Amino acid sequence: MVDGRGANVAFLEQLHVRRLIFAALIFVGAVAGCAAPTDLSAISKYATTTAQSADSFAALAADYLASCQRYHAIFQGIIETSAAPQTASFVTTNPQLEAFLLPRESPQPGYTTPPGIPVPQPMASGSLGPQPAGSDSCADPRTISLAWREANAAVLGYVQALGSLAGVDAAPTPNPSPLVAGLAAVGVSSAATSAISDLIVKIGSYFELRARDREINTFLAAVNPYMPVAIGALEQTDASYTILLESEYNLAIAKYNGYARIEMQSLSSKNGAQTARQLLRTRSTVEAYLASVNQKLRASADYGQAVETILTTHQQLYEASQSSASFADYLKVIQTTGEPVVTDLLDLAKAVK
Amino acid sequence: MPDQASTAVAQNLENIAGAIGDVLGDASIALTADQTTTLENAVASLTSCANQIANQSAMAALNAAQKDLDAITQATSSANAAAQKLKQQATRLNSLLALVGDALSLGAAIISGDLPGAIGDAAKVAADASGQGN
Repeated sequence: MVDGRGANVAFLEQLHVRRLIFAALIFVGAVAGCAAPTDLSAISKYATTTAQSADSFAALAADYLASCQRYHAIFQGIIETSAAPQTASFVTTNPQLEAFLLPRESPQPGYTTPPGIPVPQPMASGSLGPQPAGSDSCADPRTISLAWREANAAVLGYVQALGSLAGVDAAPTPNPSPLVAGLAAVGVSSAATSAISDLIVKIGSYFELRARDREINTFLAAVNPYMPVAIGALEQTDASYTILLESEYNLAIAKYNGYARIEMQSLSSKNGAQTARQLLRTRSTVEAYLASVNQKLRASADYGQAVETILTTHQQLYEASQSSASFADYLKVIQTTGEPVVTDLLDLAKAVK
Repeated sequence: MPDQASTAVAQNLENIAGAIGDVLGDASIALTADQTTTLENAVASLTSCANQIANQSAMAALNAAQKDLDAITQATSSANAAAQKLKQQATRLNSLLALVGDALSLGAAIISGDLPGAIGDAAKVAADASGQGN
């Protein structure tokens, strides 16, 4: 039996293996240029960081409503902060107004839309619109907050899907081991099995990559007509959010300074020290509050930058897809244009904490 | 006119409110209680007006983009399905390689005389491949 097997092995080796190796080497050479790029970290970082920003985006959208609620509280004279106000002592019997007023420093720059974003069309009936009189004073911001969250989810979903198609959720690569084991079992030499193994991986990868590039092209073309208006809406909403935050900032300072002025005018020698201590505590609370608004303005600016970069990256990917781009071209776009969004998003994550 | 230009108007209102706030915060400017209250109210009115413009602008933008956002969501759904299909194709290719490999092993076993064990292995691989293929 052993002799029979040996004869079979010799037969295979002589008749087929050399030709097989030769064909394998030619094909491997032909498709080598289409093999997957080894460094997928840029795309992975772009897609995963953007996907992980869902919480930051959601926090910002939720704060649109919260900003309205804080504004109305300030209007009623209530300024709250989660930060512990500093304690201060007052050591003069002749307090001056200057010691208590808050000089108005410009708030942190928020986000303003760049020129050229699409102008929204008039609202259709039955869609988002001003709330009827007499309803909740934050009804419109509540509606906007929910719509902004949904819009964020749509854009983040796009980036995530792009990451999935690009192979961030690694698809199994062709595994030739079972076949190689089978070949080895029938006595094919290790040189031949190695060549066949390479051939299988290359052929499999070649067709997988072609299919992947085709799907990416299809996806980019499908979303391309809608991205500018969608991102434009996010930018416009963010610019409005910046206005709301600035309103909070301006009203809080005006309310506090007005309060401090009137309190100081009614100061008497009897209640002077007590009033002064109270003013110092209040001033400290307002300062902490203004710092938190500034942090939100930073977040607003970071968010605006991030969505602008998502649009720019998309547009470059789309342009690449129109010129028969390969996966390597997509990778290049992500590395040059998409990377900055990661920085913006990481800044945003810090700012919304 | 809820658009980009109206956001600029709202921004200007905020700037005016800020300037009035500067007066309130300047201790060198003496103000009566009535003047103080008037300025406070002016800031409140301006900021409230700016907020309303900003809200209308945001609502109009989100409303105008609704169809575009829906189209993106739909395309995303298709892309996710395509990504899933690509993974399944890769898995099926591996199953096929396993089947071919097993067939070769079976051939080798026939030659070497270890037929029962090879048939058992082949049946297992075929069953696995069939399951993955579905």
